Amino acid sequence: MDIGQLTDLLLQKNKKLSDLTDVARKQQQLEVKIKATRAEIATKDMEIKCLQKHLKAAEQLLGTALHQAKDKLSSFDRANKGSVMSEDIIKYAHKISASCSTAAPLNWTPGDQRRPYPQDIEMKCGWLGQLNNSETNVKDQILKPPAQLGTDGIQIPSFSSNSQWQKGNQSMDLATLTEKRNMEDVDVMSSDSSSSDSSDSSGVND
Amino acid sequence: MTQQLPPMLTQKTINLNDESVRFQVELEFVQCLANPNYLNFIAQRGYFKETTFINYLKYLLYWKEATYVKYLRYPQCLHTLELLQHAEFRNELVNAPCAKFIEDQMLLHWQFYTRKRVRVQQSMMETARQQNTQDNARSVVGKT
Repeated sequence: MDIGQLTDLLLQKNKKLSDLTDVARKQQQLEVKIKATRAEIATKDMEIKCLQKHLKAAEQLLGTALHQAKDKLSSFDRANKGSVMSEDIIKYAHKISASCSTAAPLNWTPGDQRRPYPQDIEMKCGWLGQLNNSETNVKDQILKPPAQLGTDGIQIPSFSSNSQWQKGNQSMDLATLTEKRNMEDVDVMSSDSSSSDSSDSSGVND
Repeated sequence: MTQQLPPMLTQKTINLNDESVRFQVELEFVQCLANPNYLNFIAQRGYFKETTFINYLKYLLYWKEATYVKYLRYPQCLHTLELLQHAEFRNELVNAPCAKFIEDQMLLHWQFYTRKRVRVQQSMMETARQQNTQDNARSVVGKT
């Protein structure tokens, strides 16, 4: 080979080497940029995570507050549904205290006949007692509660002389409940033998 | 013992199909349930074993509504009515000691408010008396 060719080859190689160093330098610069960008991404990621935590905490707080508010609203609704006029309450309180039905009279002693429930005399004087004693000539007095909840079998039969309660009778008989009470031993009602209850018949609407 | 009967009850015919009559009959019956001796009576005659009667007791729960409660003179009957919805309670009521226990508890509860009021009054009188003696002592000391 002659010297010219060698020089050409040498110059080519030199050129290639200098190109390659250029490329390497550019790559270095890019590498620096890449590192900077990665660092930025990392900081942004941290910020996002931080925000996420805050959001979750806020969501929890709001959820609790919402739940409590819903509870309060439902209790408001319940209270409004059951609202009663204060005068009605006072009237009712007066009614149940005046007849000593819910609080004993101040001068009550253990021998006193008064009781916090309706007794023999009151039961006899009321409608239930009258169903026994009335001289009715009604023929078809079969009283039934409304036909719901399986009460179809309940009957209060009419009172003729042969309507005495029979042993095998499966139907409930409101009237003869009081009749039987009158006929049964008074011993069962040991505390109720003779009532000096001053109130009038129980239960009837004033 | 004679009692003056309300005028409507002296009618010869009582129409049981009349709504107002039925209302009053049920009102009386539900309040009679407050009487533990009556409950014992009913239990001993086996009424609590009949499904129709049990359903009737469940039907009577309508007295708990505000529009009906205001007619009850003995609102404690509602508590008994609630207890009667349970079979164990109905079965226990056959025993006389059970009814007696319930009656005793009812009486004690009935007297509770009165006794508390008497106690409060006594304590107020006591404090008033102590106040008086203190005032007297001070005035005596002031004079000397």
